[in-house]
Amino acid sequence: MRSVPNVSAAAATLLLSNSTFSGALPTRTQGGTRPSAGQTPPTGGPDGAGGSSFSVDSFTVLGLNPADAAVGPLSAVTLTAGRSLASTDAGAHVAVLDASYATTASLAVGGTVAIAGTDFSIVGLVSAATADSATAANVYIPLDVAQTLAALPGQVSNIYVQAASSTNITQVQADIRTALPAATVKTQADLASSVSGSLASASSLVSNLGLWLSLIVLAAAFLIAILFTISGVTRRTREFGTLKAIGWSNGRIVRQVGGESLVQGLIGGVVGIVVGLAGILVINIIAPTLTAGASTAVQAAGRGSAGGRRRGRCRRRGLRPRRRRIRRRNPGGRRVEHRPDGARHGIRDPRRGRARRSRRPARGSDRGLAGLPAPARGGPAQHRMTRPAAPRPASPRPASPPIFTVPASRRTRPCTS
Amino acid sequence: MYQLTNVTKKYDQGKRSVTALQDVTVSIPDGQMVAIQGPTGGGKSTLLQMLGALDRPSSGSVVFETEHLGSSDLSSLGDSQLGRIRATEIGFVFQGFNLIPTLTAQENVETALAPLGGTSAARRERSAAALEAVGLGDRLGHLPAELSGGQQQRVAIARALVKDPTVLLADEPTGNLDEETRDEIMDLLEGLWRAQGLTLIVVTHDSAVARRAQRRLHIKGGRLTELA
Ligand SMILES: Nc1ncnc2c1ncn2[C@@H]1O[C@H](COP(=O)(O)OP(=O)(O)OP(=O)(O)O)[C@@H](O)[C@H]1O
Ligand SMILES: [Mg+2]
Repeated sequence: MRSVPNVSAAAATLLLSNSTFSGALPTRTQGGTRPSAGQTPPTGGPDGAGGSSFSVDSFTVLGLNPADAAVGPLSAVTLTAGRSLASTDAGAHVAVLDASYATTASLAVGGTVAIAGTDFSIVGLVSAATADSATAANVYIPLDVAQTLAALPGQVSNIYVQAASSTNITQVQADIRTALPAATVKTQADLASSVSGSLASASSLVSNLGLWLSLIVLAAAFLIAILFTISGVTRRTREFGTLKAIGWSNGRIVRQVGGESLVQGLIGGVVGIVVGLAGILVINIIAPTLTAGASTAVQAAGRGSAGGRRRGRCRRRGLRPRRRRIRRRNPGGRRVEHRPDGARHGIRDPRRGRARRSRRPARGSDRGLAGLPAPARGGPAQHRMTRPAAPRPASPRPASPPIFTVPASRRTRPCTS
Repeated sequence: MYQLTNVTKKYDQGKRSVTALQDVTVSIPDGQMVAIQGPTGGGKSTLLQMLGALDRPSSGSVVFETEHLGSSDLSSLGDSQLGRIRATEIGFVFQGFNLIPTLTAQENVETALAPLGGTSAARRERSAAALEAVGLGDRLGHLPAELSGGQQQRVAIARALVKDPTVLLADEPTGNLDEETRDEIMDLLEGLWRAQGLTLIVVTHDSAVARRAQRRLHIKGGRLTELA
């Protein structure tokens, strides 16, 4: 990457996702089957799945080269405790944690965090520069260690590139595209415009919606007017018959009905215009305006940095921010030990978690009935490292120097969950 | 005056055709008061429609002659000409009154003057006078729903007579009224007939009404007979 002209720095990263399923799956005691020795009989849980208590812990791990800390995700964070990763950490089982993740997971400097069954000592905590956003990942470890853990030697998911000068960004982008034809090359400007583009499309959606709504309302109004006229005329056939009998011509009757409709229409139109204008006035007074101006775009890009990164990892998941951790307490309120189970890594939010839980006891009981040992509480931890699909480049920070990210597109594969 | 010759009226109803009038020949001179009686479905209303220029016979001729119009065969006139004759020469009174419910008594009477032109002030004046003549001078602004059945029929009579027609046709004008109101209305019609020199033709089931007429016709199965 550094061979591309005008690139002053580059940093390669590997984004991974560590999912841990922990907790006890109950043995469904059917027909007085005794629980296996040494196991407490499960108590009835609120969902009827006797004693099921588990949690799913999922966090993102970003492997990065400590030597390249000047560029990339750790270049724009604030160190809140301990130290950052240093060049000497290469190959070492050390980790820097996102401060808010550390708080959530009750971890601190000096402690350890288990990644894929390996303990890493926590050497530092970092937090995002802006208070309301998180950093690019939950856990940062040296790149070579990450590649070993994930069994992906020599592979990276993103490359952060810093151009020597902001004047040759376009050229550098083109050069990188030539050098890595399979990669997606995005500049901060691209990222900013994709954010402002979505704002603009939201704004156009609103105005399109308004157009369609008014067309629908107009059509409905016409339909109602026609129906009322027809029903009015039908109701008045006897009246028209009388008028004809006393000498009214058809033309006179049509003129009469038309005149009445015209007067009604004019009155309705005037009332409609007055009410409509009043409505517009009210809406303009109380409602905010949706603008997609340049300044908004830059701000949105800045604000969207952390959230966008996190959300974007799997596009199919949409805009729902992912809930990282689901904990359940057993009825006694005692915190249940985690029973990690890598197979359950897909659980993303409480609703889906519940759906799975409700199915699990049946499986457990099936296994129990088949004479297979039911999973015991505190059994051997199973870990699974997953590579997140479609890694997303770090979002731009308007204040920082221009950065390119090069997600290697060969890693782009469909969402696994 | 009317001269009907071999008037036949058939209504086609799919395959079947109903003969409502069969070879009716009758002459009705100006100023006569005629009652038409007969069983239901006999063809009374159909005959009145021929006389009132509301419909044309299937065959035969209906010659209608007045002072200002001269003589014309209603069976050969177009719709607009028939309409014109209805507007100027013929007044209709219906069994169900047939007032327009959204218009006041005076406005209902004015509808009969609308095809005749003239200023709205003149129309208002004439309609007020017509209502005065039927004894409703103090009810000009009332809607039909605010009037009794007898009063509504008086409004209908005023509407029929406001244009000074030569003929007044009434299809069971007292059918919806009690005996006392019936006599009231018949007194009124008879009085107006005498005062204005009208030709008055009344279709009725009621022999008390028929007895007031100079001449009584009976129609049954579409065939007309003269009662002594
Ligand atoms: N518009 C029409 N279409 C078809 N048939 C009709 C129509 N008008 C009248 N008739 C038929 O012509 C016959 C005479 O009807 P008409 O209304 O003249 O009877 P009517 O003597 O007035 O009876 P009522 O005393 O019940 O009013 C009836 O058999 C009727 O069914
Ligand atoms: Mg009849």
